[in-house]
Amino acid sequence: MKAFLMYRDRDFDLEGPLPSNSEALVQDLELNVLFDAMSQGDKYLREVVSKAVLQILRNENEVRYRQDVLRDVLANPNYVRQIYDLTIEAHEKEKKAHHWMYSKSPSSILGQSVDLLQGYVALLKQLRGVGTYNARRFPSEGFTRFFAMLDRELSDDYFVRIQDHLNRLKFRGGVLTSAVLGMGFKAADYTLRKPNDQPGNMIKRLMTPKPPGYTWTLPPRDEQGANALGELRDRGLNLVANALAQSDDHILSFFAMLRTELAFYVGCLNLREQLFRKGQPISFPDPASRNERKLTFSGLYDVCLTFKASDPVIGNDLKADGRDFVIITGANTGGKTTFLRSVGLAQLMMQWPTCAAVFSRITCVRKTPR
Amino acid sequence: MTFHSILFRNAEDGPPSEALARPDFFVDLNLDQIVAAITTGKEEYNLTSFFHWPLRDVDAVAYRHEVMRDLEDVVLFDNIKAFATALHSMREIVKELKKRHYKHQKQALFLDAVDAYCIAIASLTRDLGVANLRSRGLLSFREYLTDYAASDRFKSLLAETTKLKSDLSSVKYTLDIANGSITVRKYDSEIDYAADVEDTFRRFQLGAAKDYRAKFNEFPQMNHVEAAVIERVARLYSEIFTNLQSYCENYSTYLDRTIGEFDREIQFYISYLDYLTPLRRGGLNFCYPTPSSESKELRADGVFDLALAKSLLVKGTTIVCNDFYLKGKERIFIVSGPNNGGKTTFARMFGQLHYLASLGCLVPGRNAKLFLFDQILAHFEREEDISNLRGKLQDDLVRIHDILNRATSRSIIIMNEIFSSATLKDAIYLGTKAIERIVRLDALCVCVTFIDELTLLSDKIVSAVSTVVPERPAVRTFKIVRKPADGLAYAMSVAEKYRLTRRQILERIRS
Repeated sequence: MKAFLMYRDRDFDLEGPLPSNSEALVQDLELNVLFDAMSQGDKYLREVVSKAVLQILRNENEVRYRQDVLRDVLANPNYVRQIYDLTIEAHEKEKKAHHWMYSKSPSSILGQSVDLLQGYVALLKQLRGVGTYNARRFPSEGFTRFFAMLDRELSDDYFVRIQDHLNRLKFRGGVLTSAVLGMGFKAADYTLRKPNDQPGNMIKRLMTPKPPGYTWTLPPRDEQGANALGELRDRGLNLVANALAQSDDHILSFFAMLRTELAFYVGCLNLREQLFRKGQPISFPDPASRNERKLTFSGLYDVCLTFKASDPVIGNDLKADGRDFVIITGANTGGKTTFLRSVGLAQLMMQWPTCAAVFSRITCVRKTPR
Repeated sequence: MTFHSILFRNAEDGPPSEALARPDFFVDLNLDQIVAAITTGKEEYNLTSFFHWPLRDVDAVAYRHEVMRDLEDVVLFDNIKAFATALHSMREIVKELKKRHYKHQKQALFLDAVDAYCIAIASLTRDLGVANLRSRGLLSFREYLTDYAASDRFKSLLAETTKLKSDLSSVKYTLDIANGSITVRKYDSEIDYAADVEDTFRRFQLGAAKDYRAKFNEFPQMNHVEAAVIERVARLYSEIFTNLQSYCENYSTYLDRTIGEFDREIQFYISYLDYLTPLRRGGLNFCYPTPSSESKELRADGVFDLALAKSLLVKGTTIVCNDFYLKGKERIFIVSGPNNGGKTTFARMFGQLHYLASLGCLVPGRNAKLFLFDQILAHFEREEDISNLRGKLQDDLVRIHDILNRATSRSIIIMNEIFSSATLKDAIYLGTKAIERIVRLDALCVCVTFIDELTLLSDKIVSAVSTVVPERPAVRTFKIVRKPADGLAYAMSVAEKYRLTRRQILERIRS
């Protein structure tokens, strides 16, 4: 199960490579101001956005895919935050349970895993619920696919199946294990077994004879016997406890992945709220392909300056389609550098630097003696 | 020809009926070190008695040479070793069995032991069948083994073992553990539940997972709960377990005595050849000696002290080989020469060679023609023993007297530094008496001494001298050569080196 909300065909990699000049970019474009606005003091959000913003996309189609997802996010902030909170909750449940997991007997690992799984299942149900009732509000390719996947993989039947396991895994009826004769007739190949279904019909059940069996009962006060019995039970449970604990891990990593991908969009939500508060407009840029020369905008402003200046920041217009080169001249402190920075920031926020040259010119301007 | 033993042609040759004590001369000749090294790690075979039992018949020695030559074939050697390993693991299972208390466990291990035995017999029969054997010993053992493997008793043992093994491997049961009780039933195709759970959550799987499996202590013995379970399994599969029960009763003495003895005795050869392997790899030669119980003419080339060679090999030092011969009437080596020149080593080696030859073993050297003795008598210097209340000279006399009384014309006498505590005059007198007695006996003898006079007593005596590098008298060659003993030889070489001979001094005075 993959979220694929950042890219059409791959996971977002928090450890993915950043451009070699990313340090210079952070400095020149004052990106920390942007990251702060996006993360609003949340350490995890900051880590994700600071990497996501700098991981530049491969082509304009990737930009459009992400823009579409972002449109859905901006249209449904509450639902997105709701899903994001579910992922955080999963993480917290795990943190609470985790210290139990080490060097424990299979029974206790199993017990903990069942409890944890029960918690995860509740979260998975809520997650799917958000999708089932609101999928039509999310027309983007990314979200459509995501919710369809939840619907398919987390069907009602599937939850019934999980619930059946959760009930069985408490082993109220006892533990059934198979074994064969090993060296010296010590039991080998302990394998936990699921009891065969009894015929549902009461009369049939009485008619079908149970296969013959011989029972040994633990004598009272036989402590060694009780330990041995417990160990036999644990040997039976060993593999299922392992399978369940690993399943918990897998579910958690699904939530973790979803959390990472959504964190970027939550950052975007935060940024939009901050800009609205400042009364600044936003719009989606139209990404041009690599071999087109297009640079046209109106009212483009420096996002970072918005958060630093007390006065409203002035936007600029430019029509430079088909041009290779733009030279800016004029009076000092007239906004030349700010203009440059606003173009660079916009380009980076689009995450598709078709005119990479802009960045180098920014660096050039700064280096020129005033 | 019926098979008697892989070490002895017949009951007259051996084996000894009881464990034999270490012969007196073992320590003197360093044979104790050699035998200890050979038998280390082979204690279960109790081989030392075989090394304490020299053969007296040329053909008995030949019988062993033949077997050892056959075993020098690497494939056969490895096959025999594999057989030994299989029987060893069989014995280990039996040891294990003796430690177990529950009947079913004992029976299970018994079956495993017999199974190991059957497999070992079958493989050895097959391996010997294709081996190119020449020795009387292995040929007749092969005949015995082939007959045994084809016997009804072995065939039914094998068939029943195989059947029980396969029946038992089909036993599969379930334990229903609930509320302090266990119900044992036959397995009824219930599905693997852990796999089912794993399958349910597979869709979340992303990458490698952590291992949460607990490790259990695996004890070979059962606790009473396990015993109670196996008791009930036996009831569920009563036919198989009844068969097992009667099988254990019927075949309690499954092991064939002759084959068991073969397994033990063949280790005599295996252990000796294993002992030689690193020495041969180090470039040392070993040969099959020609033993004689008639002629006392001896000849040996490139021979060396085995115990010394082993320790020098560890240090990485090369060993000096020696040659010697006795022809015609010659019987006695009187060895003299500078100290630390290899005189004692020569005497020891002479004894070792003869002893190893009498065991039917390869001996260290390129070739050797040796005498098959009736006994080896050794006199090596001992620390004074206060408990016998004798002085050193008296002690020497008592011991030499004893040796001379016991010696026969077929004996080998090794004497190292006799009468060293007597005055020279007394030593000459006493030494002469002793040597004259040996000459009269016509026994073989090596005598290390500083008394040159002894070399002239008889034409049965050969004088041998340890030598030094002529230009550097302090450096020993460790070569022992036949040469008249002129006590001065060594002094002269020292004098020459420092230009102090009479002639050299006179020359210098003149100039």
